[in-house]
Amino acid sequence: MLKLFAKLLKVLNSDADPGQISLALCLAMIAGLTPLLSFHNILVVLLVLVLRANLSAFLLGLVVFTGIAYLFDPLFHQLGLALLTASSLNGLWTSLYRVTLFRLANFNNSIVMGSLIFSLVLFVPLMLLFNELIRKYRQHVLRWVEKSRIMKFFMASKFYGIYKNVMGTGGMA
Amino acid sequence: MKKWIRWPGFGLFAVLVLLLSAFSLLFIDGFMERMLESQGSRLVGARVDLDKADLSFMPLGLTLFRLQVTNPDEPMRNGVEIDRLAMGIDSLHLLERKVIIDEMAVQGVRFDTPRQKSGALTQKGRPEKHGKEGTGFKMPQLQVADVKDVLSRETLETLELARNFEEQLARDQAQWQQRLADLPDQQKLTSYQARLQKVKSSSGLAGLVTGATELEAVRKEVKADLDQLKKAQNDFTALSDSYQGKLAQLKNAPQQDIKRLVDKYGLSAQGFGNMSALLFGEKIGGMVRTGSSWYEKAQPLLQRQKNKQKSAEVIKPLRGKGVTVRFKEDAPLPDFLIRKIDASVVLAAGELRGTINNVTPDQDVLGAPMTLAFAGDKLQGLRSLRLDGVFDHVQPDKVQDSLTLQLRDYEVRKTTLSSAKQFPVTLASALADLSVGAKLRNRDVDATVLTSIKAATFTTDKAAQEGNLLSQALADAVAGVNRVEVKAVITGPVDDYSVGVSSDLDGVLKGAVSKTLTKQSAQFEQELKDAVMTKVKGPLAEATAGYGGLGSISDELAKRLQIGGSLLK
Repeated sequence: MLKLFAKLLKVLNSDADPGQISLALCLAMIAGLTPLLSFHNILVVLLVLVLRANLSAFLLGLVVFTGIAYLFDPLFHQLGLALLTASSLNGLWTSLYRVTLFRLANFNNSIVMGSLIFSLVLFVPLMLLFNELIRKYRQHVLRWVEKSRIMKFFMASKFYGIYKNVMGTGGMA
Repeated sequence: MKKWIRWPGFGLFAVLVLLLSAFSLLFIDGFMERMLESQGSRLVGARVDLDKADLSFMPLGLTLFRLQVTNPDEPMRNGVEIDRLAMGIDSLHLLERKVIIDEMAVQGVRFDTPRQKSGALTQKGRPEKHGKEGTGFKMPQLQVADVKDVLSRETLETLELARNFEEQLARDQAQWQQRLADLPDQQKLTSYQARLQKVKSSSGLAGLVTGATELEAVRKEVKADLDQLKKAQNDFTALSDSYQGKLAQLKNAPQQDIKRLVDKYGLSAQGFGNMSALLFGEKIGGMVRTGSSWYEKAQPLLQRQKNKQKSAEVIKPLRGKGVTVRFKEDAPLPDFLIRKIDASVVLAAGELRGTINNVTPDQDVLGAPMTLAFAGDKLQGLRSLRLDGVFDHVQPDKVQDSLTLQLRDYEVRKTTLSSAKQFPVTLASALADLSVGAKLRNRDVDATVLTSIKAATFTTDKAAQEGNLLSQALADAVAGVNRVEVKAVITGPVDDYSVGVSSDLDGVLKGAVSKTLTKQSAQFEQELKDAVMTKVKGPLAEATAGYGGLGSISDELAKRLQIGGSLLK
């Protein structure tokens, strides 16, 4: 876990495109918030591997979002059930229900539907937000952190050793 | 474009998919075995064990070896044990998350087999039993009540009446003594005689005139006194008559008391009208409880909970989170369906063969009920057996289940019919025909069990009958019976049914009981009569004597009237 976090820090502190990190986190959100063994998550994994999404960010995001998902399950259920039983959408769901691929995707389960719609709706706004946050981090926080006393204390810790291993010998520099 | 696409990613994805597939192929059997065991255990409420599961892919099929389903009520026994269970699964429908099994072969089904290890699930409490336990089949009491106990517990009406009689009599006597004192007494009446003599002895004209006036005055006074006395005598006669009636009622009261107590504590053959329940109730009650328990256990396979929300149907899944919403399909099929099960059931008597059709919790989707038909001929100790059933849950709010069972020439050996202490009865040997017809409408059961027992030999425990006249009478009556027709009717809600048992044995047993009861009852009545009469004898004598005391008042009134009457002559 520490290694994973160190890798994320490395990516955050490198020159990597913020979009790749944000994309990884947003894809992790879909895979993490929806039931993990859902059919659509095969597509998410394919996208993570094919697109230049940052793998460390994806894995760390997956752990975090999977943990959060349990808290949100009642909300996902309510949202999914409301959508699946909405009269206006009945025609759409009935058409999808007759397609084997969608049946395999278990879209008619309230939690699958609720969590998938929830994460898809948040996908673009979160991606933009993550992009902005990473830029701000690199611009302001990183420099301040490097000079702070906490950072000096941190550099003496075990985690820093792991971080150095991940980075090579360069440390924070 | 190159900035965003990682071409080797496709290769990595393909490798991942291949690795996962290979992993599945290697471990799927074990995974399937554990999944079936855990899901089955959760459904049954007790351990489900599987020796081996074998999943094949071309064509898709599953074979299970030695499936053991623990009886949740008896963890050291299996409710069902199956040697081999093979099925072909429709792979196309499986992609639509529907498990459709066209044909399943079930071989070596055994019921109630022993287990080596307990199959209880520690984390789950035992399910509550349904129905009435031991539906109250008890030997009727033949305990002759103790007369002393009866009289110490009961209040005799006779004593109450006697006490009231005496109190009232004492009050009335006191009132009449007062009234007698207020009425003209003998002294006053005698004084009129003196005045009359004086008038008669007067002489001269003046004396004659004065005498006539005095005579008229005396006559008037005497007449007035006599009127008072006559009225008093009339009142007293009415009172005396009423006391005569009360005394007659009082003298009859002991008989009423005796009758009431005999009715309450005496013995009658009424409680022995349904001895069939005593003899056959335990067996039939047990059979009904077992049937009801298995019916409840089979409910998840017959129907599941669904709610209609707007135009979609919401189904609570058997497992997993959330709810599944079902939409209209072109050719709707249930999520789980076994179209046909060919099964062989191994009983102690031999092998039964049969089929079960349309096993699904979504009969409303399939549009057809579950049916079953099993039969066996030339079995050991049983000429034939046939079981047919229709479990119609096509309209979930109009459930109509029916089951018929026919057994011919079932050889009964040493079957305990009654374990009641006073009257233990064993059916040593017999040939029985059994016919069960059960219908269930929604949650109400209406079943009839007809049993025809031929060539029966009943035995009873001689030691238990020692000194018990009733048990002896019943045992003698039962020993002489060799044919019995028993009818049991089960009605009411499936979780609170009632069982009524009747048979032609009732008449035979009731006759035997009646003779014994008549003798015992007569003895009890005589003892009660003696005891009651002893208790009321004193108060009755006192009441009679008190009534006799009214005679002195009557005599006094008569005497005064006589004296007064003689004055006017």
